Amino acid sequence: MQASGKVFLVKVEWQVGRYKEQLWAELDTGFSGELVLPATRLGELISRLGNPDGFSWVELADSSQMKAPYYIGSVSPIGSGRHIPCHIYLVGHKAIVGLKILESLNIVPDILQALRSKGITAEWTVDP
Amino acid sequence: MPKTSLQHTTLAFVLGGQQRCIEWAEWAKQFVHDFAIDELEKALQALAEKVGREKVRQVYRKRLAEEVRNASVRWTTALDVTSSQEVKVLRNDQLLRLIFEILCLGRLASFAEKMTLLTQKESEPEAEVWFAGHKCMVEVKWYDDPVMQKEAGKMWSRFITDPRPKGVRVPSENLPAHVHLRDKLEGVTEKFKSSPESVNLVLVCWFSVQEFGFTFVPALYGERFMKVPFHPLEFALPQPDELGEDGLFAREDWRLVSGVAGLWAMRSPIFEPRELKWGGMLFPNPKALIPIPQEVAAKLGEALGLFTVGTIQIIFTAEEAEALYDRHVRPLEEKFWGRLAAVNKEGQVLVGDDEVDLTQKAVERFGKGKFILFRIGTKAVGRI
Repeated sequence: MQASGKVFLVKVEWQVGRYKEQLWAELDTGFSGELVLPATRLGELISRLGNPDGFSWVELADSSQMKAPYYIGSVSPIGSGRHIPCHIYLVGHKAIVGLKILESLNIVPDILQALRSKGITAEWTVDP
Repeated sequence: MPKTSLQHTTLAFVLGGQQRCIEWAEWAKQFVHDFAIDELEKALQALAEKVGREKVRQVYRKRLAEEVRNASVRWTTALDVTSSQEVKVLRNDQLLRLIFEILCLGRLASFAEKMTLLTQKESEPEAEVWFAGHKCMVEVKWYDDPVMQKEAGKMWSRFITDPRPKGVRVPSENLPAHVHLRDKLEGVTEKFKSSPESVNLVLVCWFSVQEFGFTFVPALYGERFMKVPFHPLEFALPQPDELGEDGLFAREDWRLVSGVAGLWAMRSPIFEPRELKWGGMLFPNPKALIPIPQEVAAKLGEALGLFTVGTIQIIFTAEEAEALYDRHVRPLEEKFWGRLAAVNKEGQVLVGDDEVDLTQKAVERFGKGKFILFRIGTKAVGRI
């Protein structure tokens, strides 16, 4: 089967310190956090924001684990009126927003309800 | 009056008039998107502001008006993004190279204190650029990846080439990619012979899918440093006496070169308004006569999105981080399972529940970037 290549994109504004920026990020439910920026931006961001605030130990899609640099900042899906304090990671090649965005905007119950209204059995739980 | 002539005033000046500019743009559109011509205009404007319009014309008129127009073109197979069909398209490599060079120098011009375009002699680099009081000589190179020749320069092509050549993984000459890159960089030191006191930089246009760990790292530092995947934050810069003899940086003549960068520019985001995003990796030469000053690395980061390898002091390697977990966090699993732990190199641990809150406390207590965050029990804080 050929993948369609279609993805959900969300326009967000992120901010670290006084620096803020708007961008389109791919919604990825496999990402448990809020926002990832491509690691290719590390050079530019270090010159703008200084060294990353910290490193987190994270798991990648292939189940490997690594330490990932991050800045402390906030992200706001444009139009939501919400600014969500979060870690902004620099990993991989593209900008992605994760599950915590859906959670903090209380969208998960809507998705569950939509699925259930079509007769689909669905649950929101911790990955076993 | 066609829009082109009004929008591209600097290009028109360089080419010798509006009519010539219109003709040139129409011709160039066989090979590149309209946006590349708009970006070319912006870059020429930035250069003109820094070095003067006359100088820009002197350096680029002939190259733009004659050399690229007389350059050989070839047919290549590409993917037409609108129809998703494979099509045969014309390609003018010399035009793509020249546009990239001007865009790159235009970007540097926007951030430089002062700048001089050099006269394009064989013995000179492209430009002298001053950053934070440091004189930098800049040579821009284009790398034609033999594997991804169709891919190279795709952002400038009128059509996006198919990024998945069927089954092709080995360069056409059957050379490893880093050997091919090394060959391409041979002779570049000649450009810096008259500037041994400057920060000498080679910027290589890099539109390739090849990993840096397969290419730049072994080509510059030696094959024994080849590591894939390449994590720039994990890579410890070799000391001068550790450099492999097969790496370019080990050579005496290469001491003239302060660093080599792999550089790209992408049009993003996906939707309008789009802009050109620059990025890449700058590899410093541990034996350089003039190392890259931190302030210059920061400016290059700002201007071209270049991350200078070795600029972040690695507090601990991945192995050390795992050892820290085993020694200082694992004993806490029974009591604090599922909570977060920030650990510094000395083994001091802060436990908390909120990532942002705990990080702020850890920054205050241990210092920025001097700790690592784990989730007690699963080790990984989350999935990316």
